[in-house]
Amino acid sequence: MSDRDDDRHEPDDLDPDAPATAEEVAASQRLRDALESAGGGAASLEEGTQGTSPEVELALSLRAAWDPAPLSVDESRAVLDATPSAEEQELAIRLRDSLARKHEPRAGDPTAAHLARALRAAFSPSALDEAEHRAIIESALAKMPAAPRVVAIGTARTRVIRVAFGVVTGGLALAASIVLVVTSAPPHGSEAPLAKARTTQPLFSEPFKPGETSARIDRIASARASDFRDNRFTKWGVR
Amino acid sequence: MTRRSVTMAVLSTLLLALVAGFGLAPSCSRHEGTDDGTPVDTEIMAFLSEARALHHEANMKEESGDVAGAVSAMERLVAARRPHPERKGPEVEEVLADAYARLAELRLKKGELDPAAAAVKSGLEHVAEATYFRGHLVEVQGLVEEARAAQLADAGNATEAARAREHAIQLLEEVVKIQEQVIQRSLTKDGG
Repeated sequence: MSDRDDDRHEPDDLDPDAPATAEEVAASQRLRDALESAGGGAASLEEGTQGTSPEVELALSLRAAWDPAPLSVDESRAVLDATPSAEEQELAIRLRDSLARKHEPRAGDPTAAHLARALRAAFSPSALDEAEHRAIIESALAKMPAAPRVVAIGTARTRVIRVAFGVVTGGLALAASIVLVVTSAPPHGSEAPLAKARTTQPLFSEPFKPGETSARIDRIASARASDFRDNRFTKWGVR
Repeated sequence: MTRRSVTMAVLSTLLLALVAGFGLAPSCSRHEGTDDGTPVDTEIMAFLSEARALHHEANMKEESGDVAGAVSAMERLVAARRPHPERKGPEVEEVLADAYARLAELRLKKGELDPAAAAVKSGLEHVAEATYFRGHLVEVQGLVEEARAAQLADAGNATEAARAREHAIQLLEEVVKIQEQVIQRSLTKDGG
């Protein structure tokens, strides 16, 4: 069954030495003609690719990339036309100079300078210089109403009483907060009680017998090692 | 109301608040006062470990018949640097007392009665209260005096031998009292 399936392939599809078909010969001829007619240059390349097949366009592009031809007079003129004019260059210079200056753009500066300056200030604001800072402060202070130089005695007295009440009330609030903080503070060690050094007597339930000294130190060291571990865990907040 | 009176009022209020705050505080200092022990820390553990090592070293030397080597190990222990020298930690004091007791036993084993008695005396300085540690030290002291009585008797000094024997009996009686106190206290604590 599989042998029969293999027999269904067209032999020409797999044979690399098979003769070209008429269609392939025609396509090859079209590609050759297009490449020859395009010659060199960008303009000829553009002309040569108009209305051609994708294969021709690809072949022309590859040739231009691999072996570019010199520009023709027309092509060079087209490039020159695309370069910035004297006016455009002047605007660019003004924009650059405006950005290079420390102060804000002036009224005559191009709109692009204002925009670029604002963008730069938003992205990387620079420190205000002394004069600018002073000007801002003076401008702000100038908008404030002038303080009355003469105050009536009754007004002053009222103000003193108000201040006194305010200060006393503030003091009481502060006092209340101190009392609250101090009384609500947990006692030292209540959050993390540590095992303290203490007598080892409770480790032993009967009077010592001769020759058991090392057994006693074993027991003491073992018990306190346990306390020590607990203390370390407590200090680490593991409990 | 003048500025001076305002200032006085504020200061008085603050002072009152501070006094009230510290007065109402839940006795931080009182809590510390009831439990002023040093936490079991690295220094205490290092000392206990050193003590344990020297006791086991003394064990091996004693088992091999090197009593002098065992004595040397205990002398190193009692001379070892102590943790928190500014205060007497209970564990450290008790371990030292026990080390002196063993040192006295080893001296006694070698027949060195005066050094043994000196070791006991040094050990007693580390345990003032009636504990098993103090009882054990006094017990060793009694054994030293018992050995002294025998030594004096062997030397033909009957009078001094009798005195030493009497002293030994007193010490052993003291041991009985100490141990009874310890047991009684332990029972009271368990019952209460």
